[in-house]
Amino acid sequence: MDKQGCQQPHPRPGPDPQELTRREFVQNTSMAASASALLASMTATAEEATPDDINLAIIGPGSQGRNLILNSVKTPGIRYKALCDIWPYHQNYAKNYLKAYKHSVNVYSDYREMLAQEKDLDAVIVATPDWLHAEHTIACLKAGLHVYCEKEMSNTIEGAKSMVVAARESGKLLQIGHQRRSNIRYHHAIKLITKDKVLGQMNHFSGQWNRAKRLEFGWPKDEPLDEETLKKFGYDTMDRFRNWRWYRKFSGGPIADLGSHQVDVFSWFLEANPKAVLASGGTDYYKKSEWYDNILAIYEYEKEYGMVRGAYQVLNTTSHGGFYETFMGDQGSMVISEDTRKGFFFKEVGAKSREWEEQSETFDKMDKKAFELKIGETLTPDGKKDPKGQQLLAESQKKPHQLHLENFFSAVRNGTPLSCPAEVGFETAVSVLRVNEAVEEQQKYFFKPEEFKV
Amino acid sequence: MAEECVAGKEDRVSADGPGNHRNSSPSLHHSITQSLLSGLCLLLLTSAHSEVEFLKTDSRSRFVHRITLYDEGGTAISPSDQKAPPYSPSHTCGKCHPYGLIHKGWHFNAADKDVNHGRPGEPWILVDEPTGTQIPLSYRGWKNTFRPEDVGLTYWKFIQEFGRHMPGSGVGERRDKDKEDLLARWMIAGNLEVDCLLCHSADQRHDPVEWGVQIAKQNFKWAPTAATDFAMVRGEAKLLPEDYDPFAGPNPDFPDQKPPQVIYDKTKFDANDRFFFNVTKSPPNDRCYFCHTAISTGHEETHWQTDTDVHIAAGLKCVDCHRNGLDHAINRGIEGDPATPAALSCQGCHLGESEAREGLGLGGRFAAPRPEHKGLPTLHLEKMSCTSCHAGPWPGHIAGGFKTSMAHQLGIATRYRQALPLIAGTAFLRDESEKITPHRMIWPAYFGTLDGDVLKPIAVEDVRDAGQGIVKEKKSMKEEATLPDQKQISQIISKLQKSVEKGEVVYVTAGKVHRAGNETLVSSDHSAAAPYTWAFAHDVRPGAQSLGVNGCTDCHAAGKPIYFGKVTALSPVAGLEGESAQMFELRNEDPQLVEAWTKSFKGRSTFFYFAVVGVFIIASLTLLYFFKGLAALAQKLGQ
Repeated sequence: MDKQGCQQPHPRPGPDPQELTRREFVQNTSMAASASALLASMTATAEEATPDDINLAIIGPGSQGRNLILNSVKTPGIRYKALCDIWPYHQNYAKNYLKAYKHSVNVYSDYREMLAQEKDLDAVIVATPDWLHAEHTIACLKAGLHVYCEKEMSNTIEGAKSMVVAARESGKLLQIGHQRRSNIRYHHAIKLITKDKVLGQMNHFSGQWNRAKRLEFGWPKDEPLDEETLKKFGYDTMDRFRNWRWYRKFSGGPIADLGSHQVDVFSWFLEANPKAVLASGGTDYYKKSEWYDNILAIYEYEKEYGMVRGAYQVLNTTSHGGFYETFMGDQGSMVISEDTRKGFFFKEVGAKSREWEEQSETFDKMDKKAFELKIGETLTPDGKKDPKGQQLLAESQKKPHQLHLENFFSAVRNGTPLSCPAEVGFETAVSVLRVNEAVEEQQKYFFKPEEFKV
Repeated sequence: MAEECVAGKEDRVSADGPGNHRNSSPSLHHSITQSLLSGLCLLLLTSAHSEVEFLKTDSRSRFVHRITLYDEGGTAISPSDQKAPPYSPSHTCGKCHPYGLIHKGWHFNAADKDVNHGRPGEPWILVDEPTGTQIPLSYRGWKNTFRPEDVGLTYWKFIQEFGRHMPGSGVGERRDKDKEDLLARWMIAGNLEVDCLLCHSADQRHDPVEWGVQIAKQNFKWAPTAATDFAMVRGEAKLLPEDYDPFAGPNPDFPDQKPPQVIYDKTKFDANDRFFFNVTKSPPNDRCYFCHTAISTGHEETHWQTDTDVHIAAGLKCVDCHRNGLDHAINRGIEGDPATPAALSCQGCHLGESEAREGLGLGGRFAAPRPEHKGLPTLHLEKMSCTSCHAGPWPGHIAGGFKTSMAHQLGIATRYRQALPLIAGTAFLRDESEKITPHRMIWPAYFGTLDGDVLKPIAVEDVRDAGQGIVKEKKSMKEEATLPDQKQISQIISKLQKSVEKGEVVYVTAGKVHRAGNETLVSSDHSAAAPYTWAFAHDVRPGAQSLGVNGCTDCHAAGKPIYFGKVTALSPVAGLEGESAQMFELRNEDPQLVEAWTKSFKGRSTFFYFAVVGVFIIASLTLLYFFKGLAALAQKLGQ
C-alpha cells in the first residue's frame, strides 16, 4: 500500500509505453526512436536474437492451444519439440499442424513422461484446463523450464499462489496469458491516459464481455476418450472433459474465463488493485452449468485523488456490444478493446484541446464526436515516412496472442521483461476469483492488501 | 436397367433403418412404407448370398421419389429446424441404393489402384495461365500424364481444383488417405459425397454451377444441398479461421466466423418433411454435357452452325450407349475395352456382333442403319476405327483445337474463357489396338528440375509464388490472363533456381526442354516433354458426311488430312511453339511408302479403264482363238 493508502499492484512490467501517438509522431518526429525501443523490447524475433532456437513443448493443444500454436508456429527461432495431450484427437491435429510447418514433435499423453524424456526443452506452453495449470506449470518450472501459462492462472487462489512461489524458487520465467499486456494498442491507450492525461482525472470505468449463446463443445463420435482414460485424468465423462469451463472442479467460471482479461486491464490502467467488489450473478440460463452464467460486478479502486468505481458484466446469452473496456475521466472517455473495430475516445465539451486534435479526423459515435484510437505512421524530419513507424504499425496489426508469445520468447532469449509475469497474473486471479465468493455470499467483498502478495 | 430401389447390403442401409426422424407425427402411410421397407431389407439381408442385393420395381415407369432427407449422421432432417444440417446423398439416396457399390463406378474410381483404367481418356489439366503452365494429370496412370501428387496436388487440393466438374466421391471422399496434406481441412469441409442429382436430376433447376461454387468455398458436405432448389447455403468454410475446431462450434464473440448454414425452403416439402426428387434413372443429355462438352476452335463455323451428334439428332440419349448397371461401371463405348459390351460398341449396334446372345449381337439396335461401305476395302475396318471417318469436325489441312468442359470450365458463364490449356486436334493417331483413331493432344508446359536425365515438375504453388512480381497475377477466372513471354519465363527459372536443392530448373513446353539463356531460351529434346494424346469419338457425323463419301481421295490424295494434315506443338509462350508435323509422321509411317501409295491413287481411274479394255481384248482374243480352234476341230472331224 502506498502512502495514500492505495493498494499498489506489482510494478507494471514490460515495456514502458512510449510516445506512440500518430499525430504526435507527425508533430514531433524525435519520438520515432523511442517507439522503436518499445518495439525492440516487446517483439524481438529470431532475426534480432541469438541464433539458438528456443525448444518448445505444449501441454494441452486443445482449442486455446491451437490458437497459441497458430500464433507461434511461424515465429523464427522457435522449434516445437514435443506436445502432450490425453486426447488422441488433439494430439493428431497438433502433430500434423506442426509437421506442416516443419516442426517434428514427440507426442505424449502424460506430461511427466514428456518432462522425463525431453531433455533439450527450453520452455513449455501450458494450455490445459484451468484446474491443471498449477500442477503442470509447477512441474515444468521444477524441471528447469520457462513457462507460458494460459489464463486463468488457476481456478483457485492457492493454486495461483503456488505457481508464483514455484517461479521464484526455480528462477525461471512464468508468463500468464493475459495477452492484452503485450498489445501495442493497449500500450498506446495507457500512455494517453496515464501520461498524457487525455481523460483528465479518471473517475469511472466500465467493461463488458457479452457473448452469444454458445453450444456445447462436441467431439468426433468415432474418437471419444475411453472411460478409463477419462477417469484416470479426473473427468467423469467426455462431456465434462470437453465442457470443463462449466464445472467448478475445473474452472473459475466466466468471470475467470473472460472477466480476468478485462479486470486485469482495469488494474493495469489504474495502477492499483481493487479495494472492494460487489457482485451479483447466477446460473439462470444454462441449467447444466455449475458456474454462474452471468455476473454483474461493481469494482472499487482507491486512488490518491479518490475512489474510482466501475461496473463490469460478463453475459453468456447475448452478444450485444461484444467486449470492450471504457475509461471515463472529467476531460474525456476512451473505449478500447482487443477487437480492433472498437477503439476511440470522446472529449468532454470544454476540455482542453490538444495540438494534434486539430489534425485528427473525427466521426460520430454514440451521438458524440469521436477520435479513432490507432497506431499510425511516423514521419521523419524531412517529411518522409519513417519505416520504424510503419514497422510499429505492422506490429500493432499482429494477432494479440502472437505479440504476447513473442514477448515471452524475447524474455527467454534476451532477458527482456515479461508483460505479464506470475505476480501480475496472481493479482488478477485474486481480483476475479473473489467475485465468485461475493456472489456466493451475496456480500460486498473487501480485498485485503496482503491478499495480493505472495 | 430396371428401376433399382431399396436396399443395398451395406451397413448403413441395413443398420440405420429409417433414422431418428425429428417429425413427431409421421403419417400412417409413411410409417407403413418405412416398416415394409425395413422388413424387406431384413429379409433380403438375411438371405443374401451375392455381394449386392436390391429391390426392383421392374417397371419402366419412374419410381416417385418423395423421400425424407438424412444428414451425414443418418438422422432425418426437419427443414423447419433453423439449424438443419445439409442432406447427405449417401444416407438419403443410400437408404435404398447401394452407395458403397455405386461410388466405385467409373466416375469415382480414378484413384483406386485395383481398377482397370482402360484406354487413355481426357485428363484433368492443371492450368496456371500467368506462368504458362498446363499439365495433364490423372490418377489412372495413363502414359504421359502426371500424377497429381507429382505437381504438389494432394487429394484436398485436387478436389478443390477439379471438383467443379466431378460428380463427387472418389478423391472427394479420401480424407482418410490424405495423410500427406497436413493442413487439409477435411474436418471442416466434410466429405464430398456423390451428388446423385448431378446426373440423375430431371429438374433443370438443379444447378451444377452452384456445386462448383460450393467446392471453391470448401463447402464440400454442403455442395449437394446448395445445388438443389429446395435449399440455399450461406457461408464459406474456407473463411473460417485456421484454428477453427468444428467440434467447438462457432466463436460466440465473432458471429460471422460460423460454418456454412443451410436454409431450407419449407414450401418445397410435404407435411411429413419429405421432398419430391424429380429424378430419372437415365441421366438427361444436359447432365452429361455439363462435364463432357467439347467445342472445336480454329474452324470457320461458329457454334450455332455446328450440328449436334447424329445420334442425338436421331433421338438417342448419351446413356443409351454409355449405359451402366448398378455398379456404375459406365460403358465407355470402346471396342475391346473390358467394360464395353461388344454389342454396345459402334460395330455392335451398326454391324452386329454375332447371332448369338439371344439376338443382342445382331446389330440394328435403336434402328441403327447397317452401313454398306460400298467399294470400301474391308482392310479399312481392320486398320481404322469407325470414328476416324465418322467423328469430330470435318478435318482440315491444319489441325484445329478444342476446348472442353473439364479443361476450360465450359458451362460456367464468363465473359472471358480461359486460353489454356491448348488442346490440339483432330490428330489421326494409332490407338492402343494400332487402329487409326481421332485424337486430341496436349503438350505439357511446366517448370521442372532436370537432374541428369530425370525431369521432375516443380509444385505449381511454388511456381506461382516464384512468378509473383514477374508475371501479372490473375485474380479470378473472370479476368483475362496475360500469358508469359520468354523473358518472364527466364526470370522465373532464375528465381526458382535459387530455391531448388537439386538439379537445373527448366521450362518444358511444346515437346522441348528450355533452359535460361543470355538472350533467349535454349531448347533441347527430352522424352518427358512428350505430348499426351487421347482418343475421342464425338460428335459423330452421319454417313453422308463421313470421310470417303467422295471416294478414296478423301484420304488418299496429296494434302489430305488423315495423312498430311499438320499438327503444331502448341505452347503458351509465343515463340516456343514446336514445328508442325504431318499425321503420317506422328504415326511413324514410312514417308516414301506413304508418298508412293498416295501417288498410286492419281492414275487409278485411268488404270481402271485400261484394265477393262485389256481384259476385253484378252477375252476377245481368247474367244477368237477358241472359236478358231473349234472350227479347226470341226473341220478335222468332218474330214
